[in-house]
Amino acid sequence: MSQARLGRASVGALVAAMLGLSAPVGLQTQGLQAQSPSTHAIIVVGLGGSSEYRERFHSQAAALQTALTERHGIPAENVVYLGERPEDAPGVIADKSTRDNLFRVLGEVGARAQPMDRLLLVLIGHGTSNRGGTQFNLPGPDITPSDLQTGLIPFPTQTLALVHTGSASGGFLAPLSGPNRIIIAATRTQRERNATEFAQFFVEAMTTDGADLDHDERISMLEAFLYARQEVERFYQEENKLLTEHAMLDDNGDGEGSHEAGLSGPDGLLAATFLLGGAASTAAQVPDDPALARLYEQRLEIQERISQLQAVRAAMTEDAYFAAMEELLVELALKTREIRAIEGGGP
Amino acid sequence: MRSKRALPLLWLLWAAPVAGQTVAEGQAELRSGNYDDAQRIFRRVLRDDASSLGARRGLIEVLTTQGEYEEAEGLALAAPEPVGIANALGEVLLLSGKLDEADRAFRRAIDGGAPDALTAEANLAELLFDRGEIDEATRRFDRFIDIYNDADGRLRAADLVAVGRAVSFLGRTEPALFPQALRAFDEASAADPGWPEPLVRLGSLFLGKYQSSSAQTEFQKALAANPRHPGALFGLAAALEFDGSSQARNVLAQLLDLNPNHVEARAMRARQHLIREGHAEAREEAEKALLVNPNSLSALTALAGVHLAEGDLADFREVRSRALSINPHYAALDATLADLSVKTRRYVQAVARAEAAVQLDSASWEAWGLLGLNELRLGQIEKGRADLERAFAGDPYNPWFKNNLDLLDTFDRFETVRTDHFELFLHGTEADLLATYLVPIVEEAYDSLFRRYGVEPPLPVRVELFPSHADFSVRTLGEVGLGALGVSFGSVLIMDSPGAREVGDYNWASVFWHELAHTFHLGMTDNRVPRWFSEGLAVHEQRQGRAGWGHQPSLAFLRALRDGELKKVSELNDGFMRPAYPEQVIFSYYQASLVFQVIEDRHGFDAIRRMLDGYRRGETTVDLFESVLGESLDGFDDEFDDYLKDRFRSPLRGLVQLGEPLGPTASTSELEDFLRSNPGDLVARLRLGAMLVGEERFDEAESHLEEAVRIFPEYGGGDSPHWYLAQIHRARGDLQQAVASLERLTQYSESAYDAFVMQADLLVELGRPEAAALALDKAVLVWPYDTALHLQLAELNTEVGFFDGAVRERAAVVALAPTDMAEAHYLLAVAYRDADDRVNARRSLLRALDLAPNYEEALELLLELRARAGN
Repeated sequence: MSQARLGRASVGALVAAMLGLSAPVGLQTQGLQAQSPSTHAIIVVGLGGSSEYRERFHSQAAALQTALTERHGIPAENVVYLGERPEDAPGVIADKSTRDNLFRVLGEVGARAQPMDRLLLVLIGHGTSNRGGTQFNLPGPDITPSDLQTGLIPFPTQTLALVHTGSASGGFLAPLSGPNRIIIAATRTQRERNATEFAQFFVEAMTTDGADLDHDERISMLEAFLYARQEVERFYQEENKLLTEHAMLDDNGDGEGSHEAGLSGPDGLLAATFLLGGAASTAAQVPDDPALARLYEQRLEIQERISQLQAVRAAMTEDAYFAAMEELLVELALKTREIRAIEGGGP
Repeated sequence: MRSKRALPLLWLLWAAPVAGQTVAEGQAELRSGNYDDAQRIFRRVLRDDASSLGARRGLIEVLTTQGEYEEAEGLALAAPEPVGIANALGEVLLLSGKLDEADRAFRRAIDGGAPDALTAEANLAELLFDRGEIDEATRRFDRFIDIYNDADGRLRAADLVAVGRAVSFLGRTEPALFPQALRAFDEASAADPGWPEPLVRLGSLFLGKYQSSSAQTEFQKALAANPRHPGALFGLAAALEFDGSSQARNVLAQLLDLNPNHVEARAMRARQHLIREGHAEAREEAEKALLVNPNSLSALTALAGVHLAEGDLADFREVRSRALSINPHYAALDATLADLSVKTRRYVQAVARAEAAVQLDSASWEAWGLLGLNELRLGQIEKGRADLERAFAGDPYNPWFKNNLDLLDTFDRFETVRTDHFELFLHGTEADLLATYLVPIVEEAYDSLFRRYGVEPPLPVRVELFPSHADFSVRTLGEVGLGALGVSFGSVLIMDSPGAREVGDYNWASVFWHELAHTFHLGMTDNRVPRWFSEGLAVHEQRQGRAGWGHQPSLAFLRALRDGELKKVSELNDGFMRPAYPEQVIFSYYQASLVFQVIEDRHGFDAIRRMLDGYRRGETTVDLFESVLGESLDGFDDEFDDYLKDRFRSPLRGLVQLGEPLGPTASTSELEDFLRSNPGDLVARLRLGAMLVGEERFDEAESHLEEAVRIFPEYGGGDSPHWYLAQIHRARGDLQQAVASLERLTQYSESAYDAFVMQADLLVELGRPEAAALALDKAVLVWPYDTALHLQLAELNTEVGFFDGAVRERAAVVALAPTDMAEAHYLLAVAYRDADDRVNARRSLLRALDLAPNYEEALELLLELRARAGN
């Protein structure tokens, strides 16, 4: 439903509902545990071309791998790193990042992934393009968007987040766009062929607290994108260089990415829900204590009402919006206090 | 037609073998600029054959080239065959202002079918145009299109020039015709490559369409063939004048040397004098021109300009009436005076004159453009835009019109912030940030200047800050490339936003103070204050604003003082308006500011106010020095010169060149050797001190730098000894001394950003947060875009309990849109809470939580605020 077409009466009713005049539906802890999706991550480092790039790409990939497992709670067996030289980091790099190996890993992950699981595929390296199209450079044959499309066949229902951090990556956006897909590219089009800085800042978003823009102790793909995009721009400005890369995000399946992605759309809404870390990452983080679990559910319900209020913001005056928001936030604050009181922690 | 049967006879006369050969030689000398030889040849031919048209015409041309109009006229009138010489006669008569007689002569040539009838036709049409008979002139110009098209390539060079001239005039209302004029002149040049006239016409066409470089190329080509061609010299002078080159004066001098009766040259010289506010000289030139041609519209324009500049409105109106009696549609007088008004900063007058011009001729695109541009300068944005659109529609070649219209199209990206006395026009991307600092500064500056001058300028004052220097240049000059940082048009100030420059380039608050001072000065004097006076006084006002603000003495300034290259006070206006070298402008700012330091010290500020009042009444600088300061301007020149030499005695001694100066790659040992022989050399001390600091030989460096300080304590440039001494002290851990050195540096440099930041860091280490905050406050006035600086300043302000300051800094952080906006809003909310502003604390907090609803610290603060409010 378009936010702009919402009439005042409808907004009022919706706001009333959000403020708790209709009781939220309770969720069972077991049910919550059963429905938690798993996240699978594949990191692919392509051809470096020089020792400088090879080392840089490996360093970024390794840092990302560590963050995904230790910081964001993805089980180590669910994170695969395919690299240019496995012999340089045995035990870290699972296999050589050839196209065939990538297809094989995608097939294996696809076979064991549950329908609601999520896949994060990160490409770190160089992209090239010519009249024939664009490709990501791998040892051996390069991989094109259509190759990748084929490789993703085992994931018909899962939410996919593809992050191509290299040059000419914009050419992957339109061909791979689709429902339940978040495509992040470091460049606007395949014609931006200069080496990119995006990977460094995307990895930084994953490995530090700076990208947790909504302070919920989780990182969404949207937050990671916004952080990396902003830091890339800052980098070029500080280095006094011309900005030769413009990151894009597409998650509404229309094949057109947005540089200014966000919660107001058209791109960014799905990416905002692809979260890493916190309770959404694995079932292990849902508390065992039933009272605490109930409080978590109640907090989740308040958070959902907040999201619903944010969705109708455009139809409200600022004062009315903030007044309604404040009430919900007070609820949330009190609930959070309750949770912290039981957990023994605090802000 | 009668004329056609007469043609063959005339042609035979023209082509008579013996006289024609000699005439050809004369023509060759004439075309080469050997006028004396040409004259001799033509006179000899005429002695032998008085009927020789070629010789007579040639001699007339030589005489008019050299300004001998009377003799030339007599020669033309004595021609046995009047028709053949009629056009030449008409051209001579025009130069003396005998317009009716010239008209008759041209018609005689046309009706008589003279060989140069087409040239006569073009001359007549132009004369009619210049006498305001625009319709008749246009009809005659129109005919040339058919003449060209029907001739099917058979026109001679002279006829093609006539076609080009006609089509140029038609381009006034049909701009698409200008390329056709270009084509006609090109063809003329190809038809007679040795004749400079088409090249001169081409040059004038290019210049008329603002392409000065192409114009100069054509004029130079003509001068290559004839270095004394009057048309080419005049055109080149005009092109150089267009570029603002001082070389224009030299070329004009050459032309007037050749022809002292060149009226257009005198009129141009008069305008040059008017621009530099040399009214007496301007009058002299205009009057000389009018002696030669009492009906010269350009000379009458110059004379009118003198009267207007001196405020003699009755005389101005009388001269204007004279011009309009010659040409009732002569918009160029008012348009020229509008332009001169702009150059002398009288923008209201410029609008009035431009309005008068378009009333006389609605197709005067120059006037529409001047009207629009100056309305913009006075803050009349919508009217200015509309008039500029009209100008551009009529003259799409004008880059100023286009650039300004393009810039106006971007105005919807700006926001207006209103204060008690100002409208701040700021780009949307930085409005919040700049307004945070600008608002208190502008009001403080206003209060200070209001108290000092006791008058209120027209309000509100509009202040526009452009984050693009190119846009600032267009807004002020209409073209890219202006070197200034700010311009005052009275009630409209235009400045570079700090983001238009690099860090440390300038102190935007200080520049604003300077420009606002101009607003007061221009308002108090009805824009009559001379440039040097207002600039010097504005710098003087900067120093009243903050210690260390305003221009400071540089080594280059001292060298100019040493070498006698500064202007005398009585000539300081030329330092701004007609600098002998580019740096003289910046030296003049500093020098002029010292004049006011001296005046205020000796006579008090009231004397300065009385001088401003005097300018308003139309008094001259000479008068005011006598009446207010009680001394002659010449006498002040000598006194001030002594003052400068006394004040800078020590550094001047340090700049005495005793031996061969060392090159830029001299080593430390070479510099040490040099200083052993020349211990008082300031520059060597500075260089050596800096190099030794670079090598961390601090003890050795210190002695040289201390000596440099002793010689020139006021030096605050990029290589100031104070800066290096601060680094030495810091390296040694003597933080107090480092701070003291930085304080001394910033007394003499308003934009030493790195020094302010270092000072703050040192003061923090010394446990002096309040002083550290003050240092960072100064840094922000140089470069407000550093988020880390604002964060540090916010923390310092909180630490010392200056919560309003913390709020300001946290608001600046928010305005800079950091990546974590939720945190930025949250911390702003905390600052508001500390400042006991619960309303804004709540609002900022809600903004933070809107971005990050699960932000626990922010949620706790929300509960706290509600608890305090009793909820």
